[in-house]
Amino acid sequence: MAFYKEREGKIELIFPVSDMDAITGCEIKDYINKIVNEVDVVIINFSRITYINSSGLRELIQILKLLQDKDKKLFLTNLSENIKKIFVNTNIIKIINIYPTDEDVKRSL
Amino acid sequence: MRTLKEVYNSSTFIELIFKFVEYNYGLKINEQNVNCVLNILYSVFDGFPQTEEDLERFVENNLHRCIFNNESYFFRNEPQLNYLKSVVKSGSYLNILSFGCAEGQEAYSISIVLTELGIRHNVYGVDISEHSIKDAVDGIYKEYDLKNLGEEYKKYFKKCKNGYCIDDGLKKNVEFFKINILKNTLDNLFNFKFDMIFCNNVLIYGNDNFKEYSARQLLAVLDYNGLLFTTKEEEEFFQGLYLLSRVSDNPVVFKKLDFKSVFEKDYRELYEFGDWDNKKIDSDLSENIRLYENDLAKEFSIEKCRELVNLLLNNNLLSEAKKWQYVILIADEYNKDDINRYLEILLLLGEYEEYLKILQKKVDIYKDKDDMKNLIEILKKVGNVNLLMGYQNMYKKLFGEYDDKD
Repeated sequence: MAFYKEREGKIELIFPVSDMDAITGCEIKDYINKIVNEVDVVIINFSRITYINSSGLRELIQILKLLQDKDKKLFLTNLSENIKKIFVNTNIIKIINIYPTDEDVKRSL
Repeated sequence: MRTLKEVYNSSTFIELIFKFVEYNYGLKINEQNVNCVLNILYSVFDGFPQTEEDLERFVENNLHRCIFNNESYFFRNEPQLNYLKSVVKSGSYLNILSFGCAEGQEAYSISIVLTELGIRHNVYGVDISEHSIKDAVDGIYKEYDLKNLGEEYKKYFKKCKNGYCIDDGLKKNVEFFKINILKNTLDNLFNFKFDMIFCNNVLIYGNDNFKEYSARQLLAVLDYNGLLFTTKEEEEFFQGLYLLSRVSDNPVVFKKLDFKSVFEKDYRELYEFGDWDNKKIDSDLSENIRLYENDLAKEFSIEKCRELVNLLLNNNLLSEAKKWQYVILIADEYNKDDINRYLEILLLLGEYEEYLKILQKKVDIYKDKDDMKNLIEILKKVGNVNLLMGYQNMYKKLFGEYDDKD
């Protein structure tokens, strides 16, 4: 399993434990696809991710579109400096909501 | 006797610790070093580390003893130093990086050679181990460290309380930094490029992620025409980077090709526009861009993205246009025009390495004749023989004999 998951009411918390590549990203996308109607918000906690490649970014964008299509929200939390840099360099930071911690997301809802 | 549960818990916890080390440092604990790691783990913590900080300290202070081969001494790699002597030009000022510097033997050896030649220089040593960096800064060595030191260089050491102390004059030219390359990047730490980099048996200890990351980062901080010294064991990690061309087999030395001059000759007309990104943005335009960005955040679509890129390009905001164009490409619904546009933007920005990478990808996907010719011509000038032969063969198979006048 490339990620752990936890449900809190209408919030799905996803906790990937291996680096964000095509395989991990795809597994997460498939899972979200299955549960998208059961939740309002998906948080992906990046605290264990040290690396994301372009396939990982592609899966993230597809996850974003998948959720937007159903009027659901996507949040990323706990990004390392390296990952943040990649998101800034690709403008992904402008289209995906990024918060320091899961608690910050919950407070903002 | 231990219960099944105890055994199960302890082994998974150890596994967790190993995973932690691999994720955060890219270092692999394997059959060869596992006993050493476990011994230290037990002796340091008298049981298990309690917090993540404990573990981090453990990695930075203790782990290097197990994972890296610390057989380092002065003038260990003499062929490299001889090569260095043969290529430096008098009057130059060199910035040199010793990657994985351990206790500084290599960095100081380089400094000794250059000092003897009267070449001004700064040598920077970086290592993952806090402990090693501290030793390197202290500069106190044992008899063993000096075993390969020629008589003529003995003057750089004097006997002191705990062994042999390195000359203070040398220390002025040599600096040491701790870095975990997965958390920080070399170009963050150094805001200049290096003329030479020494990477001797560092990458082999890491996982694939660490290897790829390190090789790319080293390439990024190496100046055009700069040299990268490495070992037979490690050359494979650099061979795949087409910006590097091998200039010596023994010692293994790569040179970073001067891409810039190759491209600027060919695409000079593009530079006459100049000064792309210093344009002032008026408030209407920035408001307009913001609206697009908000729309994309609410409902991402490739079409919207393309419109935004158009707007940015029409207003010469190249860097922003590049970022969004990249998003279009990774969103996986791109077409040929999208790639062409991205290539165009890269040329305008002068990002030739990325240009070549993307052009290569495009050729691999679409196998267009003109693209393939373009790529072959560039590879000829850049001088990467392996890649060149690969694409010439591909061309031959698809379109017959290659003729550049065709």
